Amino acid sequence: MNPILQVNQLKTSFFTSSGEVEAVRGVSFELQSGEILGIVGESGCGKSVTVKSIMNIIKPPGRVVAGEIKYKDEDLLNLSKHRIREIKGNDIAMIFQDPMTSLNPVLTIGSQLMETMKAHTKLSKSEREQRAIALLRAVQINSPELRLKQYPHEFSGGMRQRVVIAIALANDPDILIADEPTTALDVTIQDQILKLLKDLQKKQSKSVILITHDLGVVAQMCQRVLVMYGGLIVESGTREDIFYAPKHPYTVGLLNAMPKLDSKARLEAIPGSPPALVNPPKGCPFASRCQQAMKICLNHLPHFYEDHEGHKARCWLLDPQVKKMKGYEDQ
Amino acid sequence: MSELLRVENLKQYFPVRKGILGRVHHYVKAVDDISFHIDKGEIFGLVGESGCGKSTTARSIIGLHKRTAGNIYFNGEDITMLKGEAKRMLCQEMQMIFQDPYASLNPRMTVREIIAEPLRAFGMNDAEAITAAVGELLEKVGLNKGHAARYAHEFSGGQRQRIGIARALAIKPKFIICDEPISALDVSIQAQIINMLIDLQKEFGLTYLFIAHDLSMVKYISDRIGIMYLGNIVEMGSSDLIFQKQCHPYTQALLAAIPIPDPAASDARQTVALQGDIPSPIDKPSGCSFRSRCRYAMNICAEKVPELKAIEPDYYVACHLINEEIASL
Repeated sequence: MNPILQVNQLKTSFFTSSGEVEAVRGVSFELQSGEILGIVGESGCGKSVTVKSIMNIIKPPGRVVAGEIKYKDEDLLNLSKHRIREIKGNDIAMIFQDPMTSLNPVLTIGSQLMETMKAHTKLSKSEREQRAIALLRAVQINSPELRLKQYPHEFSGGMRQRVVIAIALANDPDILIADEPTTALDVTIQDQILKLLKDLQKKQSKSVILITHDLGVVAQMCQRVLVMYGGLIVESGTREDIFYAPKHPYTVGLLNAMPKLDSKARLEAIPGSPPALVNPPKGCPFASRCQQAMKICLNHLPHFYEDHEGHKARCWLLDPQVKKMKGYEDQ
Repeated sequence: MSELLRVENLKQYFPVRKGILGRVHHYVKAVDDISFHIDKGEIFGLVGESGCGKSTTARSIIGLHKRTAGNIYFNGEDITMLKGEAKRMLCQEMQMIFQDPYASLNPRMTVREIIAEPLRAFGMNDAEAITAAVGELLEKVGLNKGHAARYAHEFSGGQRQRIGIARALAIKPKFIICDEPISALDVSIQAQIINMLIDLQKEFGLTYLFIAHDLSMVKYISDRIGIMYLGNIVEMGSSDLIFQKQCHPYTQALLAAIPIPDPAASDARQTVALQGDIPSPIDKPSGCSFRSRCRYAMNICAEKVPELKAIEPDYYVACHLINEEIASL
């Protein structure tokens, strides 16, 4: 396995009038070539800010404070504006959440599709049009020649998201970043879009970062998963690690909070709500909601312990000493 | 169990006007002839995708829309004819919890004012009594008295939804319509709110109409479920049976489209994605409204609207396939 993208100790903050909001507080991960990596977490956990930092589209008062994002031996945070423009949309492309707002209502679908090609390639106008038609066909839009001349309002939500995906694919990027691509869609349409994404990823062997808050989507789509909470990655591992042997109490809590099929047992809600990141807690961000919290959790940020190869969790319970003291058995 | 609410042949059409004269061109048939009942102390779930008419149904019941046709009986009394004071008094029995806790609370009012408003409207004028009642309500929904002086923006989404619930409970209604009360909330907060709604239902003997698009939550909370598609109920019955039987092709497709949070089960599932989009309610397909996306569509589906028929006691399906004579052709 060779990582196509490496993120090291990324820190992104927003400098607001009420103080520095530390949205991402030191996030490190690798995206392997050809995999779908899922990032799950609740609103405000920093998942969107992480990928926006990768795409270099953090707007003031936000700023990447520290870290390194390596793509093919280049650090995306230390490049000229010109080079970043070359990479964005060409090598790394993004699919946004809301297809109602991510398309320009006064331009035709065709011109929005060809705009990215115009910016990055030397294709002639007719070549661009041919490619646009091929792209619409690839995302399963019927009569693409006709659709090219239409405006976004003539498309349904699911169709618009297909167009957004086609635009992202326009220059055949290596990496696709999808930020909650189906959250705004109905379940039957979500199913269509997810199947399309997986199909495209397999056929064109793309590497994908998929952000979602829906654990069902993760189970269906991803090979590896990062669980984020309070601006940090609290657990990472394969899909099976996360669903069948979760180590972090937050991951366990998330899985338990969902109703089980065929069971009317009371839901195990996680008490409280996520921490504000204006003054992030000194210790583990989850400590105040964690039923197994210890003294150390409140004051010291846990290390990222490796449970076994590739499965890590940021929790003091995995500390060898704590395990010994608590008689905490590994399952 | 006795019946609390009965909806009979409810139709809710919205006119589409065009031209400078504003002539009515055609109608959006948001709710097109639906009937169901809810028993006392029951939780009835209404599920469907956007535009299927589930929220419109709720709004018609509570009187926010002037209904096109049909009758609604509450406690045996036809409430569609009520006017003036009688209509106002009905609000005391029937309340609603809205979807978006960011939009449904007035940002200029303190929590005390928000919760006290219904109390005042129904005759509580003593400031001390109001303070006591507001404090008690806040504690009932897991907040505390001290929160009364704050404004809505000082609370998180989950807490705001709790305030919305406290306001709905203030005048001790019997029936509460929950219109997607958890869809704007995070997963870990959803479970808190659902648990609380169930506790309150038991404590006060409430009856809920629970509207959502998240089927797993609806199944968990509801006793009975109605599945809606383009303004019609296509399948209705006890929540366990619906998941077991899945008679209507749309129910099958809807259940198959929900991602399962279990990798092995997710991989094992071989489903075909439902083709196409939901048709616009302005221009519905003739006959069965689902036929344009249905794999089993037959000739008759285009000609005749399938009736919602009981296939066993208290279990209804609207599909030509259940009619054996036709299905065997």
